[in-house]
Amino acid sequence: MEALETVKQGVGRLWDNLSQEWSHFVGRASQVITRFKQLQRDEEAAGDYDLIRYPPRLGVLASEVLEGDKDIVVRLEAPGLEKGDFNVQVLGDTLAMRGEKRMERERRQGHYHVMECAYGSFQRAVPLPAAVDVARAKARYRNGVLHITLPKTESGRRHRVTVQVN
Amino acid sequence: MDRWTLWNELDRMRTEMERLYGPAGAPRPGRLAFLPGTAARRYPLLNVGETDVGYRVVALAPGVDPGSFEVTVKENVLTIAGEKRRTEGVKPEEYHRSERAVGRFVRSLELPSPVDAEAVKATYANGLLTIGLEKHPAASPRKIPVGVG
Repeated sequence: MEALETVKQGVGRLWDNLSQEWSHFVGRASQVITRFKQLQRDEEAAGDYDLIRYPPRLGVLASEVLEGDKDIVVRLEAPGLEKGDFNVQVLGDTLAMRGEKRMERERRQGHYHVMECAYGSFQRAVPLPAAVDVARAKARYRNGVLHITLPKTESGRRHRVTVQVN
Repeated sequence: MDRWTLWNELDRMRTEMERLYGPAGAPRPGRLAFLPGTAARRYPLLNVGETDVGYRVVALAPGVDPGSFEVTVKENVLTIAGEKRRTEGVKPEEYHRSERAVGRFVRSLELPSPVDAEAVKATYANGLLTIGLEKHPAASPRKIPVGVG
């Protein structure tokens, strides 16, 4: 009986650890899954075509954040937009990227057989690892990837400290 | 006192999952905009449209080297292949977040009718690969007059 008790406790502990890890994972991963909100003009243009009326609403916008000595570089994969479709802001220590992916740009005559791409307005926020100088920030859009360069402020830079070993 | 049983434990697990995902169960997870790979063949994501004269395929392919695209057509099968390369010159310790995937990818798509392999146009702009295909003349519907005798 004692052995059984030990197993029970072990399983209980394992489950507690697992669920904690899982919550953590879901919390992190759900930042990546981005909801696209339907644009009014797309809905009007869609007419009766169901595939166009109800395109996928969830998309994943993959990002990367790099920190160099002087700059923080953020890249966001957002194919099918134009540079005027983006609105990028720094809010405290978060970079907020908003955009609109418009169906009307791609829509031609005829009908669709397959519709896997999400359309609409979206926003994605990523935490920044250091303080940045917003006034000198630069952004460009190339090959469907948004590149944002944010120079770090003097206080945001890392100072090398030599540790004395006695 | 609550007795531990496997079933109670499984029930607890289910409750926990529901708490995380909401009562409706697991939502349909979003699909990555782009994930290279040759095994699953689910990427790149596509839209396929048809008009009277042809097809228009739009593939999401952000950050792909345009020179690496290989678009081939055989009868009614369209194959899109390419390679997305890693950003060069980045030290691993510079990464704070890395969600982008790299590698080779290939996806084949069966179109509803054969297409003219000589008249395929592909362009790459804003991360979208757009392929225009014309239906093979033999495959377009021909109107047959019905004679009344």
